[in-house]
Amino acid sequence: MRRFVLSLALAATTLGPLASDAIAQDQGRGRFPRKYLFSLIGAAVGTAVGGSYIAFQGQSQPGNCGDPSCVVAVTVSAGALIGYMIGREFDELHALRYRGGAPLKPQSVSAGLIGDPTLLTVEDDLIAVGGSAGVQFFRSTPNQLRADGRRAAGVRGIAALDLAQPGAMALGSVTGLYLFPPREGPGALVRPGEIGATVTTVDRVFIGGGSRVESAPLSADTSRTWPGVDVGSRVRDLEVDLGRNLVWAVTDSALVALRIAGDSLESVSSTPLDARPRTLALEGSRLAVTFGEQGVRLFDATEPTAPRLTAVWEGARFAYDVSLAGTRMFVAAGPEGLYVLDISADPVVIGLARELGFAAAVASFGPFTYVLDRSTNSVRRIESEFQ
Amino acid sequence: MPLAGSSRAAAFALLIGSVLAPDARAQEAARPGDAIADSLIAAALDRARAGDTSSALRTLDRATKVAPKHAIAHYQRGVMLSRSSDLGMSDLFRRRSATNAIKRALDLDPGNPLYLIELGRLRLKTPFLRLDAQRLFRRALEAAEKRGDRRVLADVRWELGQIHERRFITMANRRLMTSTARTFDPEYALEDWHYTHNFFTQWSVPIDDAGELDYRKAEEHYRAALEADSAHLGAATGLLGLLHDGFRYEEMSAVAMALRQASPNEPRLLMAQALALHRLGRDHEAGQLFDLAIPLLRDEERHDMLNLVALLRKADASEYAALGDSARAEFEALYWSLADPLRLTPVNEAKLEFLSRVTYADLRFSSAEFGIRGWHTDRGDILMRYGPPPMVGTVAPETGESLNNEAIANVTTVWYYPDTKLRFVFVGPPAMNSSRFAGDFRAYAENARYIAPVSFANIEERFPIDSIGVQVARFRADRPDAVDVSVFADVPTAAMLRDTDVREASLETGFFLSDLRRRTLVADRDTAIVRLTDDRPDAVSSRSWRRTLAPGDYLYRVEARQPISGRNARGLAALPVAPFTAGTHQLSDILVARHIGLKSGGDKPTSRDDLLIMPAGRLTFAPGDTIFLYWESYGLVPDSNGVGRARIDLALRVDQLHRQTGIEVFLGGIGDALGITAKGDDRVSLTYDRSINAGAMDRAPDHLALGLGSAPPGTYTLEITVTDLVANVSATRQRVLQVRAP
Repeated sequence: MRRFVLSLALAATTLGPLASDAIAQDQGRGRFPRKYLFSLIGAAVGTAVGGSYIAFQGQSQPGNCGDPSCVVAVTVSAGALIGYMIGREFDELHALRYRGGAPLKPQSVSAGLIGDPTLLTVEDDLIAVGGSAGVQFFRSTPNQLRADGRRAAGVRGIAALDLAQPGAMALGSVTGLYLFPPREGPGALVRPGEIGATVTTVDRVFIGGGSRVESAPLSADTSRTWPGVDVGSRVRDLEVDLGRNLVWAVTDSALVALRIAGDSLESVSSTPLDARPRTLALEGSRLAVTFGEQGVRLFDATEPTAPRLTAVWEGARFAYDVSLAGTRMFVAAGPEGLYVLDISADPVVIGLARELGFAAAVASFGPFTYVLDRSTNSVRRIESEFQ
Repeated sequence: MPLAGSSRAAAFALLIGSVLAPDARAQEAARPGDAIADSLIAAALDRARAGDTSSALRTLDRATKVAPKHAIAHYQRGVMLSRSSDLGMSDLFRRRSATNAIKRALDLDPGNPLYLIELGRLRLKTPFLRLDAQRLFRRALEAAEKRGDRRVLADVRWELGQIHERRFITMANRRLMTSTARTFDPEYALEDWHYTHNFFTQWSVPIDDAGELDYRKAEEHYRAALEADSAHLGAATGLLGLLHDGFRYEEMSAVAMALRQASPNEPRLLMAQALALHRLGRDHEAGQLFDLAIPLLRDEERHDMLNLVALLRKADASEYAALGDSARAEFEALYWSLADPLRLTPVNEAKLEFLSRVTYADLRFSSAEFGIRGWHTDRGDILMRYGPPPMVGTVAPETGESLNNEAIANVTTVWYYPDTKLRFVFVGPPAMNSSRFAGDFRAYAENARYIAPVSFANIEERFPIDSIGVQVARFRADRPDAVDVSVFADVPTAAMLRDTDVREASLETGFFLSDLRRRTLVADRDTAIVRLTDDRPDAVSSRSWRRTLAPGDYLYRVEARQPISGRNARGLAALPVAPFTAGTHQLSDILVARHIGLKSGGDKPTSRDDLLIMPAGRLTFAPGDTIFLYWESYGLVPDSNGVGRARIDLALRVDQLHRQTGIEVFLGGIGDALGITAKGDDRVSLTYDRSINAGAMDRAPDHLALGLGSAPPGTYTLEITVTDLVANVSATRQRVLQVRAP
């Protein structure tokens, strides 16, 4: 009976830390090492097993370790050791998962997707996700992301996407740029050729195809080349900077500023880049450029003729995408999750939201940040300023 | 399958050479006899490179005797014994000798990381001692870090990475049985495909994140290895394989590209990047990289890796293997030409898929340690034939009594192809990335190979191909011994843009003509924007090509591609071109059109150039349609007045009818015969006479309109016989038509 009491006591001692640890995890505080926790659990289980054995088999058994103290010592040690080893594995996994930042668990709402989505763009409360199943739309409501139809069905090779006036959409593909009218109707081909980037204003669409950036009216319905400039190498992404009347482009070799001049564009500056960029995000006078394995670089775009590199962050294994929201930067890091950084000064990692899955794309608008999660094939929304 | 003979010897000789540490040699060189031992070691390595392992070992024996305190001599002897031993119990004594030799080297040079690595490798080959390998590698890691030897550091990180990678592979796709069955029984799987289907859909559930810790540890070690030595190929391929298995294709491509800076001519890096790009759907770039990589492979390896043996039936493979070099190359070119789903695209999708499969097999199933080439393994063989399995599951080893003895202490791996119901089961030891067919699955695989030696079904899914209706019409050319060939195609644009939410799209079309040896004679490509103006699901875009050819046998392909929808269409067939003999009464092919009109009012045509023809590539019509026919009669003989006289017999025969009613056709509209009507149950015929002007005696064009009336849906043969009433000779031509349901 004493053994059982002892077992219960040991079990009780393990439950307390377990519960408090779980709470601490949820609240983002420190983490009690699992190797100790599981050692205690293992020891408790070992005590129970040893006690049970003695209770059922009698006090004394033949053999070198037949007396109760030896049996209990062996089972407790074995249990603790096994628990320690299991716990250590958990600790190692935790350390590897969160090697780049402390765990974050922002509350999120999500909506399921079909096909293989690759692109994400947001305008006001309308979210568009592009991929192999065309473009799926969602409305951001206070409590959920509500499905709001699908367009560009059957379109393959979607490489660029942007939302213009409510519902209107510019879509770059392997065969050209299509403009979709608001609400409904098929896309009209306005620029043939492989289009890798696009961005819109209320009345114009800017098109990155090959090494050219062109400007076309959003009302265009004829297929042709449009006025624009050659930026020297392949355009990867575009952002429009209405405050400075600019279009920013990242190409395979440079960060390029282009002035919107009537129905065309004029080159303002070209800042060489020593790695191949992937995506570009702009907020205010701050530009963030992802470089895959080379992380993210931040530029101060106050002076468009000479944008200034202000910070380099290489904490992620691979930066897939980036978005800016106030003093926060969100980096979609694929299977690692979503890194959240404070960029009010030099970038400081606030933490890593691994629960958001395989973060393949990210976009921020208003108070929310949206993440494309490839592991659950869903789009998720979190509050950008979550604590 | 281990490398045979000289390949194997060369492989391990190369490895030996690569691990020979110059600094260690320098340390030892001062002792008496060491110089002699060094020269003996060099001679032994030369012999090993030449494939003479026995002689090399004898020479190394001498080296250890000449300089018994020369650590390198013992180490090299141990390495050679180790590399020439296999996994398992069969080479126990050889491995023990190798262990003793390396331990002796370690006694002489304690803590040498190279020696510790080799001892760890030996442990990996020894059952029950594999767990100790990790401890030795960790010791080697500490020693290498202390010595600051980056190359050795990379090696030991790679070994540690491999240990964790193998564990990850063992755990990946792990499923937990939820039914009463405790394990997966290959015998049942062999008997009934439902068993495998149910295993995936009802009897087991996937274990999320299984093997994640080992996946992450392996990645850490590989990255650390590459940081120490960015040209370390083993670590590079290991990391790329992990990224692939994690579906991190963007990263895989970027990492491969970055690693290529250190090893620009390494074909495996190029192939791995090509594989990643293929997975991302960037086939053109993938094809370019494969084209760069293949010439960089060693000749022997290239032949071994890329031959077609794996894709042919066993008997065909034997014949193929017996071919001489040039015949084999010709066969391969013909094979891939036939397999190419679309010549319009810049890549051969079937070949690209094959290259991706062999690259994946190399990346995931090869073992440099055991001289195993991934594409020669059982899993590699199935992967090459049928592509990546859509459903993969592994089941933990059985530890207790089991009806399935093979599952005891072995991981069971199940591959399932739901569309074809093909399933393959493999078993292998945990943490060794080595699997073989379970039970009778080798025989099952052979049977499957006989029935379907290869399948590219996975590319058909993402590269759907519709059919194009093609009508070929052959006419006598203006110059002697030549034939004027017209090819008319109805490209199903509406079907290709079905459910695609665009108003217009580019349509690429191509006409390719080759001889029987697949040499391209014509490659005509064109791109146009097509606009969908109505909702007709059967709307087509007509295309035509006209070429003058010498008589002979040809093959043609008419292709169309709509990149925006990803849909494609193709029509291909043999094209025999027979000569038209001068002075002989012959007919051209019957050209069937949707409409024929005269270009210049009511003049009589002298050839089809005088007519406006809207050909019907599909040769498919609706009941009540009027079809237009055009043909040319050659070599008519004039009568005494210099005028030709001919009788035209036109017959329409039902080959296959979709409903049983009578048929009715009528002639009218244009031509010499007007308003003739014929009725019949399964055949109608019409006859009329015509006279031919003196000027058109050698080439008499004829055309008429044929109303299909109430002809029911079915397959019809249209036959036209032209009898020269002066010479009393006849010539006949036929054309098969379809009447579709209204």
